[in-house]
Amino acid sequence: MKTSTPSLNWLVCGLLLGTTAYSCKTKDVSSITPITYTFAGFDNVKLPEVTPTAPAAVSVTAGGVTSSTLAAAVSAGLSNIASSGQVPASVQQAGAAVGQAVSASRASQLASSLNPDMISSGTLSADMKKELSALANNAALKAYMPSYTLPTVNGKAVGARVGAGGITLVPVANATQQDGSSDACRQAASAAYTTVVQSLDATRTSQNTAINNNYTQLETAANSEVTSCQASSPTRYTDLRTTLRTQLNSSLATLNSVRATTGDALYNQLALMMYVGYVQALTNVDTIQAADLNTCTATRDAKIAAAKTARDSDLNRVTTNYNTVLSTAATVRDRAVASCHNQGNGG
Amino acid sequence: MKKNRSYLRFLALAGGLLSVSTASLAQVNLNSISVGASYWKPSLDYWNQRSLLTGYNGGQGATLGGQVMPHVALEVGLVKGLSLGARAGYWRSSAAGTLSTGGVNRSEKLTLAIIPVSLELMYRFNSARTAATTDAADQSAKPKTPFVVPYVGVGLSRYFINNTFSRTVASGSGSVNESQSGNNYGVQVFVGAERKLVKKLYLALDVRYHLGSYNQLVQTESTSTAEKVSLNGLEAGLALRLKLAE
Repeated sequence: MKTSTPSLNWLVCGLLLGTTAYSCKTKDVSSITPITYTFAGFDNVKLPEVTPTAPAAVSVTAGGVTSSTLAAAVSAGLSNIASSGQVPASVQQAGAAVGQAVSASRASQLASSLNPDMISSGTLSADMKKELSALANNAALKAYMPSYTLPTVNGKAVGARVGAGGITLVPVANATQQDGSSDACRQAASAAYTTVVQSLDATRTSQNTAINNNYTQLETAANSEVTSCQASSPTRYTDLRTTLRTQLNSSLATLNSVRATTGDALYNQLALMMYVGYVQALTNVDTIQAADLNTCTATRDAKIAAAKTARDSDLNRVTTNYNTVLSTAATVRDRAVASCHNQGNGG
Repeated sequence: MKKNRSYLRFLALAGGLLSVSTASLAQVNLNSISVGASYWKPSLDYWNQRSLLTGYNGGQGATLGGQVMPHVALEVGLVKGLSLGARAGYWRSSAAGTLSTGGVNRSEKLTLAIIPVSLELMYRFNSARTAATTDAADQSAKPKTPFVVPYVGVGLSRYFINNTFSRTVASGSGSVNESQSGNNYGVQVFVGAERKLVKKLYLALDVRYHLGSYNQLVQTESTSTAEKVSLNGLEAGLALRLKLAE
């Protein structure tokens, strides 16, 4: 048979190579459609709603000046002298108590030199103030002097430390990620778990933010109340001083009306007792007013402390819920991963 | 559309070869045309070792094993003993199994088809023997036909891949019936021997090794990777060869 010419063969070779080279670009084989895994167990893994708890109410009681029982009895006795014409024993005992504390002549001098305006205006000399203060603290007269009660915040007298309570915050659990797996089912389970954890994190952050915002609002309100509280204090105690002055005027008028019956000596002693009692009452008012200025800040501190307690309690509730649900999510994830083991029947 | 493009490439190649060979019949020395069948066991390591197939059949796995591959070839002579050939085959294997994972019960079947097309350079060791062994004293005597003619060769291959995949989900969505295709280049080295049966008809024993791979994209719900699938493997088979130039 005739052999081919080399040139023709090379031409054929060239055509073959050219044809082969057509569309020479390689192509990767596309992926088969991955199976979509749905793990129903994750659907119910949600944080329960937590709304900010209202903080415990702060109770505040105002301070006050209270007249003594014996002084009240003397007032009542004086009122009865006009009708009975007799000096009751309570009145006589009061005069005797003054007599134990100061001589009759000194009592007369003091009673005649004092008047309500002098005491109210604070124009008493230092020596006089000292002497009247000494009389007020005299053991014989102590029982006739008015007493006072300091204002209280949450049952504690102002000045006492308001405890912050203090709640230890619950530590937040960490999400436990599994090692990367090349298995699509396990990857899907881990991805579903990660999605749930992200959702839980977002919800926890949102709840914590609401709680912290509520606390900030309460704190701001408590701070702003201090100014108005302190501004209202002077008026309140001016009124109290006026009341005490009215009571003194009334008592002195009653005493004057029965002076003929009591006699000058007893009159001077009882008048001195009333002046000393008035001085003591005003001193008490000064003490209460000074304390009351602290009541405003103490109330603020108590409200903030209560808000902080409520906040921390709520934050702990959120964290506890989160930790519990996170644990549930991990359990669901582990169960899902376990279900990824092929359970086919070999068919 | 993409799937069809690969087939078009293959058809273009086959068409080109056929057109050239047809032309060659008339104008060049077309040495031979062959048909045959051989057993080829490509590695397919990804599918058999790391893919979803390993979960088939209750975790027993479902390997894509060796299969008998029909093939056709033609050959044109270049110079003495050396020829250039083209060869194409069709290999196909399936794996099926049931899976119950992640609460999804499903049955799946993957059919992988490979069409290796190669351009080969082949050398016959004793093609000149007829002339050498001719009795010098009797020029009219016929040349002596050797018992077998051994040959060796090397080929540049292009592997056309086609996956057909079906998934039936027992309850719920996710059932699919789809196919994907791609291709890549490789190399074949081969040895063989042919023996004359009758006039112009030869039986060839051909043993060759494929060196190649292709990239299989693997997508999950959250990741996408490219896995290299090895096509390395031994092929051995028989072919009937009609020699046109003898």
